[in-house]
Amino acid sequence: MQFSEEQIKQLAPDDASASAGRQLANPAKWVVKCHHETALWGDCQGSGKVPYSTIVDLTQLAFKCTCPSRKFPCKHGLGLLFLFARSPEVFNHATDLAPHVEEWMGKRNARQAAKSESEAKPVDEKARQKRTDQRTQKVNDGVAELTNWLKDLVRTGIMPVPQNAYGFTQKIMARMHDAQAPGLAARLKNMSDIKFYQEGWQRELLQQMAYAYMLTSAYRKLPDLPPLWQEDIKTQIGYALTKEEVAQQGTSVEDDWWVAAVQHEQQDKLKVEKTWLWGKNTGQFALLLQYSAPGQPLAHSFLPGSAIHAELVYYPSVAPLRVLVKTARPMETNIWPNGPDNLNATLEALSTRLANQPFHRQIPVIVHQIRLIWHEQRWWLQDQAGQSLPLHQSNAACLRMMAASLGFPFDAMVLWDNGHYAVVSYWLNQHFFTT
Amino acid sequence: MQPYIEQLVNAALLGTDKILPEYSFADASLGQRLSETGADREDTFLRQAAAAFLYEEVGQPTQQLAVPEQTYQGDTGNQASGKLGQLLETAIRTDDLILLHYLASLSRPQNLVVAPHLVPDLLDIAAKQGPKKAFFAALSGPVGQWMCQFEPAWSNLMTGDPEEDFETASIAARVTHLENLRQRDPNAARLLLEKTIAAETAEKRAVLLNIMAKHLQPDDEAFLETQLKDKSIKVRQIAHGLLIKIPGSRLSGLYKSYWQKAVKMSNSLDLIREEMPDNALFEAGMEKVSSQKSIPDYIYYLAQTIAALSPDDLAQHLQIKPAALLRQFDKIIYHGFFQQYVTQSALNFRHIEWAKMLLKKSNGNIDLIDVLPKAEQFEFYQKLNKSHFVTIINRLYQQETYELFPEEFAQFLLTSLRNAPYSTDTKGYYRLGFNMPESILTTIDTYGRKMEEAKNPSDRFFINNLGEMAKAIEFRRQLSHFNHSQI
Repeated sequence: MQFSEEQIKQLAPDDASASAGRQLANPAKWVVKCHHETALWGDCQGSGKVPYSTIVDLTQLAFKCTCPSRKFPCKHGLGLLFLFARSPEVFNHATDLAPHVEEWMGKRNARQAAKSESEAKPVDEKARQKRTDQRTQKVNDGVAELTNWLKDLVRTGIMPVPQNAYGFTQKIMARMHDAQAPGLAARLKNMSDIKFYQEGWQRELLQQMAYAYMLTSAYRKLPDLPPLWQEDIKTQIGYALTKEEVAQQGTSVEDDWWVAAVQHEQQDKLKVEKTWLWGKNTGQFALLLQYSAPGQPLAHSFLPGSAIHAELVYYPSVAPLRVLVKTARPMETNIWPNGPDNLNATLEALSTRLANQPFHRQIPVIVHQIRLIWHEQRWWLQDQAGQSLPLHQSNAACLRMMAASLGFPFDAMVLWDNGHYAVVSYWLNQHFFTT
Repeated sequence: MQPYIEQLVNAALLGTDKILPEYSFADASLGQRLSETGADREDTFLRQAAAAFLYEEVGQPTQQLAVPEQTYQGDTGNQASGKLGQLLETAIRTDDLILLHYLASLSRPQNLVVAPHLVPDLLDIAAKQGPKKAFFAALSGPVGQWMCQFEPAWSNLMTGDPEEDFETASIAARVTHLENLRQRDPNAARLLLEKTIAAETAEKRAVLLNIMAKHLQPDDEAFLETQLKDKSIKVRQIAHGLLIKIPGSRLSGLYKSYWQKAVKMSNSLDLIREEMPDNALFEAGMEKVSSQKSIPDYIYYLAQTIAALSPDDLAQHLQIKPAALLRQFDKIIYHGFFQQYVTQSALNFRHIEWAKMLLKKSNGNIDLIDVLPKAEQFEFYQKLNKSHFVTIINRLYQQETYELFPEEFAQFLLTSLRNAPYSTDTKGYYRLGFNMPESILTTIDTYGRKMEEAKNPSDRFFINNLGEMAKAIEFRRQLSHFNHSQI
C-alpha cells in the first residue's frame, strides 16, 4: 500500500512527533530496514547503546517500538513509515517476517481473538438490570437538578457569570458526574470554557444553556419518544452502548469508504481521535470515535485520503453518524467523493439534517467546485454562482488552501461545527490535502 | 426593533424575573405553542431560546458576494520535483533551515521553486530569517509573490521591482536588489545609491555602501570621495576602505607618496620620523594621534599606510620582493605592532604570498585563510588545528558553499571531532555533513559500530551526532545528479 507524507502526518499524535518522524526518514538513521507485504520493521540508532527496534503492521496500521516514548505512534514508527513512503527502494524486501515481527503480529492476532471470545461471554441479567435501575434513578435526579439550576440561572440573570467564570459550573458539574450523566457534565464544562473576556459570551452561554435545557426536557419525556430518539437522548446524556449492543441494535453497512479526515482532540487525559468516513455507495458519512490513554494504541488507524473496504455498524440514531468498525482492510484504489456544487443546496441538506437531529453539533458535507476568496478581511467559501459562506478557520490553514488551489475551484469536506464552517480536507487534480 | 435573539440575550442578562420578551418566530404558531405549554416563565424562556437558536442555525443564508477575480493566472514556475521536491517538503515541514538552505542553493541556479501548497509555510520561514529573507523567499517563485498580498507579514519579502519604489522597500529587499544590480550593472547600482543614500539612517547607509565592495572600479571613486565627509564614522571608514582598494585613486596616491617619503631601504628598513603625511590624508580618515601606548605617532602613521597599500606597492617602492619586505618587518623594533597592519594589507589586497607567510606564524590571523585558493585552505586549517579548532569549525559551519572537503581533510575533521566532540553542536555536525564526501561514511560506520562500547557521554555524543552528519551525506547523495559546482 502506498502512503503519502501528508497521510502519515495525520497519524502523528502531535506536530512535534510528525516533525521528528520526518527527521528520522533517512536511511542513514536505520541500521536495519525491511519490508514485507504485511509489515515494515527496522532498527533505528538512537542515543542509547542498543538501536530501537520498530515494527509497523501494514494490515492494520499498528505500531510497536522498543523506545521509551509515551507518544503513540512514536517518532520511530512514523519515521519508518515516512522513509517507506519516500524511498521504498532502500528497504530490503523480505519474503518472510523476522521472528520478533512474527511473534508480535501473532500476539496481536491472538489478543484480538481472545477479546472477541471474552466479549461473547454471557452476563448476569439480574445484576445488570439492577445496575441499570440504579443508574436511571441517579440520572433522573441529576437531570432534575440541572433543570432547576438552568432555570435559576436565567431567573436571576447571567450578568454576574464572568466574575466567577471558572467556578460557576463546578458544583453542578460534580453533581452530574455523581449522577452518572457525563454528557451533561461535558456540556457544563463547555459552558465554563467560554471565553468570557470576549465580546459575544452572553449569546454563546445562552445558546448552550438553552440546548442543555432542551436535552433535559427531552430526557424527561423519554418514555414517550420513539426508540431511536430514546437512544439519541440517552447518548447525549452520557449512556454508552456496549459494542454488542451496537452490533445488535445498529445498522451494518458494508461499503468502500473514503477516509475523509482524522482529527485529534484532548479530553482531560484522554486522546480522542475522530475519523470521518464517506461511503462510496451510500454517499453517507460515518464517524469513528476512538479514545485512548497516553501511550495506548488505538484499535484502528486509517490514513486520511485513503480508501478502505469495511463493514461499519452505525449506532442507533434518528440520524445515524457514529459507527464502530466490524471489519476493515485497506484498498489500493482511490475514491474521490461527489457532492453538490452550490452552497445553497449544501445548506439545505445541512438544515434538514440538523432539523432531524438538533443535538448533533458537527455535521460533515461534501462540496464540489468551491473556491476560497478573501473579502472584507476574512476568508469565505464561494460557489460558482457567487454564493458565499464565511469560514471559521485559522488564517494559516486558509493561506495553505489558497496557495494549493491558486484561487481555483476545488472539492472539499466541510464541517459544520456549532454554526461555523471549516474545511477539513480538500482535493484537486487528484491531490488530497488536510487543513 | 432588536432582533429576537438579542432580545432573548438581554433578558438572560438581566434575569427573566425582570423581563420576558414577546416571542417572535416566522411561524407564529410555534411561539404560541411554546408559550402556552410552558411550565413557568423560565421553562418558556429557555425553550423559546432553544427554538430561536435552532431556527437561526437551520436558516443560515449564503451571501452573494461580487469580488474581483482572485485566481492566480501566471506561470507557477519550474517546480522542483522528484527527490528534490520531496526533500524541500521535508525541510519546510520540519523547519530544517540547514537542509532548506542547501536545497535552496541547489534550486537557485536552475530557478526551481517549491510546489504551491508549500509556499505559505516557506514564506513563514523566510519572514523569520532577517537578512536571508529574500534568499529563502525566492524559492517560492511567482506563486509566492502572488501570495504575499494575503498576509501582511509577508508584504516585504518579495517586491516585484524594488527599483520603482526603492526608497520605500524593506532594507532586505533593497540590499538584494542593489546586490543583483551591482552584479549586472555596477554603474547603475552606484547611480541608484548616489541618488538615495542621503535619505537613509547611518546604519543603513553603512550596509548599502558596503555593497559597493563588489566590482569596485575607478568610476566609483568620485561618489566614494563624497562619502568621506559623511556624518557617521562607520560610513567614512567604509568609504575609506573602499577607496584605498581602487587602483590609482587619489587616496591610494596620497598613501603611496607618504610611504615613498617615509621609508627607505638600505640594509634594513629605515623609518623616517620627520616625514609627516599630507593633511589630505588626515582629512580622509588617517588617525593623527597614536591611540597605542608607547607607539610614536610616526609609527602609527606608517602602520596605517601599510594597511592601506598592497604588499606589491609597498615592496615595489623599495625595489624588493613582497616576501623580502615581510621579513624586513620582522626585524624592526615595532614588528609586533606592525603585525596587524601587515595582516590587514594582505586581507585588503588578498595577497596570497603574504597570507601564507603570516599564517605560518604562530599568531597568524585565521581570516587570512580566506585569501588562499579553496584547495590550499584545507592544508592551513589542519595546521592551525590545535589552537583554533573551535574557530575552524565555526568558520566551516557558517560557510555558504557546498564544495566537498578533500578526503584527507574530512578524515582530519572527524579525528579532531573525535578528540573534541563538543567543539560544535548537533546542528554543526549536520551542517558539516553537507560538505563531507560520501567515502567518509565508512569511517562513520566504523565509529557507529563502537556505540555499544562507548562508555562516556562525550563518546556517545560524538557517535550520535555522526548520525546527523551521515544524514546530510545521504541527502546529498540522493541529489548527486545536481551540479553542485554551481552553488
